This record gives sequence, C-alpha cells and structure tokens, in this order.
Amino acid sequence: MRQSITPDSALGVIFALGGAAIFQQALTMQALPGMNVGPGLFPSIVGAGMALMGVALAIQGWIQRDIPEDDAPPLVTWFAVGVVVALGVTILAMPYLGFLIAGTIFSVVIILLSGGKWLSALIFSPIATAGIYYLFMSGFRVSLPRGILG
Amino acid sequence: MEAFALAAGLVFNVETLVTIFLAAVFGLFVGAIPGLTATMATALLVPITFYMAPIPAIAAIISCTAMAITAGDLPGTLLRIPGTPASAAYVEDSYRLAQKGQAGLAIGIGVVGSVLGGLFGFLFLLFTAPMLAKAALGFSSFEYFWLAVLGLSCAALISSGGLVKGALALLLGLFIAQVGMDPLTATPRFTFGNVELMGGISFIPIMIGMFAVSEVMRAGRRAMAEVPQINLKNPFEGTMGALWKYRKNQVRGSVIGSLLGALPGVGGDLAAWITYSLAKRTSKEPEKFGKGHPEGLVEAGATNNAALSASWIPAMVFGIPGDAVTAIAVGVLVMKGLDPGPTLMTIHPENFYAVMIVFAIANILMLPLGWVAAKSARWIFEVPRALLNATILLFCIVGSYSINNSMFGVGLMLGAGVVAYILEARMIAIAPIILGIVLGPLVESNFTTSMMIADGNLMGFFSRPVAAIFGIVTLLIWSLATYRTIRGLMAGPEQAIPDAEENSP
Repeated sequence: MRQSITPDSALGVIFALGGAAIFQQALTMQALPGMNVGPGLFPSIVGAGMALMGVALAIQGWIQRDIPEDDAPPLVTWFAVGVVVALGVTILAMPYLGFLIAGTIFSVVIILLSGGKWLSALIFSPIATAGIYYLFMSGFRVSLPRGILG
Repeated sequence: MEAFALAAGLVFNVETLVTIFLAAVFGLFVGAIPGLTATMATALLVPITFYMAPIPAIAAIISCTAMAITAGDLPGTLLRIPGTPASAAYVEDSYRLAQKGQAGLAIGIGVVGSVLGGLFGFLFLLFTAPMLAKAALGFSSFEYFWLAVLGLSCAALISSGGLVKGALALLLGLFIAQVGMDPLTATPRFTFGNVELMGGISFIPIMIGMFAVSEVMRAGRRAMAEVPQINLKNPFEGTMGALWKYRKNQVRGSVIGSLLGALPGVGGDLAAWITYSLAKRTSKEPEKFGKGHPEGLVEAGATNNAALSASWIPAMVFGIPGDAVTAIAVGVLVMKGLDPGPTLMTIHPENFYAVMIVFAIANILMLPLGWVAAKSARWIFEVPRALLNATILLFCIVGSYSINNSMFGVGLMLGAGVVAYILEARMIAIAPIILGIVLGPLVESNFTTSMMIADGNLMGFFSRPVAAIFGIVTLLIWSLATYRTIRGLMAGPEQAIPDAEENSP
C-alpha cells in the first residue's frame, strides 16, 4: 500500500526544522567587535547542513515510498516504553528515595518487564543495587543520593 | 630507550595489570553474550575509568575492547549469532564447523588468529605511528581541520544508512558538541538558561544512553538462544595445524586488516568482509566457503583484530578517531590529560609506549582467557537476560550520575537512549554521532583559528599543500557520494537503497 508519508520523510522534516531552528539561533549570536568570526559561525554551518540534509531525507523517503520494507520489529514495544517510563520515574524519585530504595524498585520492575520471575527479582534486586552502591561509594568515592535513608 | 623503561614502569605494576585482567574478563563476558556488543562493554566501562590513573584507564579500554571482539566469535560459532558485525562475515563457516563437531577448531582459529592478527597490528602501529607523528608535527590548524573533516566524512559516508543518514548523524553529533559556552568568546550557546548545560554536554552519558540503554530497549526481551549441546573438551583442538595450512591467509588477512583499519571510518567490520571475500575468490576450494571451511575464518579472523589495533593509528597520531570505540578511547585520553596527537609521541613518548605494551599484553591475554571463555560458554549463555538487563541499566544510571554527581546526566542518558533507539530503527548509525561529539570541539577550534588566519577567506583553507590535498580529497569523496546517491534516486527507487547495505550481513 502506498504511504502518504514515510517514517524517513517524517524524520527528515523533523531534522530540517531542527536544523532551521539551530541556524536561526546561530544568526542571533554576534561576533565580538573587530573579529571576523563569532560564536554563531560554526553552529550556523551545522544548522544549515542539518536543514539541507533533512530536506534531502524527506525527499529520499518520498521517492522510496513504494519500496516494501523488511519485516522490522515494531518501534514502539511495551518493553521499550516500560524501560523509558521506569528510568524516567527513577530519575524523579531517586533524589527523594535514595539510590538504594529507588534502584531496588527499578531493578525489580526491569526484571519483571524482561520476563523474569518475582522471586528472582526480589532476591536479586537488593543484592545487585547494594553491590553497585558500595562499589561506587567505597571504591570510587561517588556520593550517590541517600534520600530518606539519610 | 629511557622512555620505554618508563613505559614499562607505568604498565608493570599491580594496579595496571589487575585493571587489564579485570577489564579483559568483563569484555569477555559482555562480548560472549549474544546481543551485547564490544562498544556497549566499552561504554559501560568508561565511568569507572573516570576514577583511574591515565594508563590503567586506557589499558582498561584497550583490553576490554580486544577481548569483547574476540569473545564475539563464541555466540557466532555456537549459536550462529555473530557477536560483532565483523564476525558476521565468517559466522556461517564457524557455525557449520561447530555442527560438524569441530567447534574447538572454529573457536581456536578465531582466538589464536585474532591474537596473531592483533600482534601484527600492534607492530604496525608501533612502527608507523611515530613516523606519522613526526610528519604531523608540521601540521597547522588548516591540516588538522581537513584531517578531522576527512575522518568524520569517511565515518558518515560508510555508515549503513547511506550518505544522507550518515551526514545527519554526524551533524547531530557536531551540534551536541556545540552546546555550552563558546570556547572563544564564552557566549552561551543553546543552553536555554540552564546552568547544567553551560559546561557543555559530557559525551559519557550520551554514549551510555546511545550504546547501552538503546540496546537494552531493542533486544532486552528477546529470548536467549538455546544453549548448544556441543562437546568442547579441548577448545583449541587442531588450531595450529589449520593456521599453518592457511598461513598465507593469516599473513594476508593481518596485512590488509592493518592497512584498512588505519583508514578512518573503515575499522575491522568492513575489513573482515573484504578479506573473507578475497579468501573465497583466491581459494582453490571456493565451493566449500560458507559450509564449514576454515580458510575464510583464518583470513577474516586475523583481519578483525589487526584492524582493531591499526584503527588506533589515526586516534593516537592525530587525535582523530575512526570508529566509535576509538572515539570513546580518545574521549578518555582527553579526559585524562593525555592529549592524543603527535605530541603524545614526542613530548610524552613513555605514555605512547605504555599504550603499546598494553596492546601486546591484551592480545597475549586473549589466549588463556579465550580458552576459559570457550570452556565456560555454556554457563555464560545461561545467565538470565532479565537479571542482566537490570544490572546493565543500574550501571547506566550510576555511570551517568557519577560524571557530575547529578541526576541531569541520567536524564541526558535517557534522552540519548530514546533518540538512538528511534534513529537506529531508521538505519541512522550511532557511531558518527559519537565521533561528531568527540571531534566537534577540535573541528570547530581549528576552523575558527583557520578563518582568523585566512582573514575570512575560504581559499586560505587550500593555501598549504598538505591541507589542499586533504581538502580536495574530502570534497571529492563528498561529491562522488552525492553523485552516486542522486544517480541512484534518478534511476528508480530500488536503485537508491544505500550501497553500504551490500556489505552488511
């Protein structure tokens, strides 16, 4: 079936708009008086290049719209979304709960998402989290958030 | 000689030797697990090297990478799942050999051939790098600018998605490198008033997100392959006989691997495919290739690690990495104050020789560790994927957090992981993004300096002979690639599928 807009074309449009925004921002950066180059020169080249290549990708995707694609796995899977959500929640919760608690909960969630069993998740997660915590705290002197554990 | 003695002192101490061993074991474990790559192993190791002295840090990267690439032959041979794109070139032969009950021979050729190829590449690096460095001492900002652009161009154009997608990946990396304060005028660029962005975006959380998080998102729920029931009493059985019989292939694979590996952007992946097909074309028994014949395995296996060593030449001599792993290594070298480039070999030659000694040790260490890995492959494959995912992601969080002791790094990692996951699904390669981030500041500073020297005249970039040659070659490469892409599109949609796919598994 002929697609009205292919994923490549959509990605090309996003890159083109992003490149145009970079270019526009770069033009607002003024050079210091007496200098022939300013902080915006290189970003403006990169932005223009990205906008140009974005347009090229959009056109290329449109020309190739009739080529059937290989049976690629779906982009949005429950597992991938689950990993992103779990990471996002952990980022927000870790400063309050601390690494030990947030990391353990995160690990349990990931094991279950990955098809692991409850028992192995509950046994493995606190051990792995504590092991990594003490490796970085004692071995590398990284001060990981302690949260409610003080 | 004094520099060499100093270098030996830097390497032969408990800290460095233990680091080399542990990094090798880590690389071996990650490389042997189907679906996990050498780049991911290296990316996960970087936050730990942050806390090490310079030589142990770079030693960890070298030994981990070399071992992970060699261990990538194990799932290829036993499960028909190539561990690296390079080992995909000969996976049919190694798997068929295993099916014939000769798994020991297949693994032995992979490991011993890699050791010999790696040592050849090491000698190539040892002798050519100082000579190139002397020439590079005369380079100005013009030559460095073009050399960096040439390296980036090769990496982008050779990537699997073709010209447009490779260029977009590269430009995205260059853009990320520009976030923060402008080095010349201290003007904030693309920071949106965020204080954390003022210092720029560290390549470490980006790299962890792009290589580790996206990989878990993509392959994390894929079931592990069945554990093979193959007798591996003597993992290296019959290896020396086969290597002697195909010694010409071993030497040719090592030489070609060293030469191709030194070219930016080519690396071991493409080199192994080239030598495998060369071995088939020149063989007296080409009909046996792909059915469990050791000849191609010997040649491509040697190429693999020779190219790996040689890929360090542009990284060490000019500070211009050719692939993702050497880009990570250059980032670590810069982070540790060992600025890669000709001065590494002239002002601090002991550091250069120390890196060379580490190469030799890492390659030799592959023999005993490769043997152990082959014996324990069955147990490595049995590690539950669910527990592995949780451990990898916990390491990702801590590694990204530890760079600035801030959750901001973890957020960057997550963002980079999602972006890489989407881009890779559309065949946009990740390596050019990382190269762009690492080389971005070098390209921009040399571009700005050259523009000032040339008083804004672009022809000034061609005013010096070597710079002019680099510049013309770069422009020619882009022109040819553009012409081929446009011609392909004009000829019809089917012709426009990227050429690079022809070389991929």
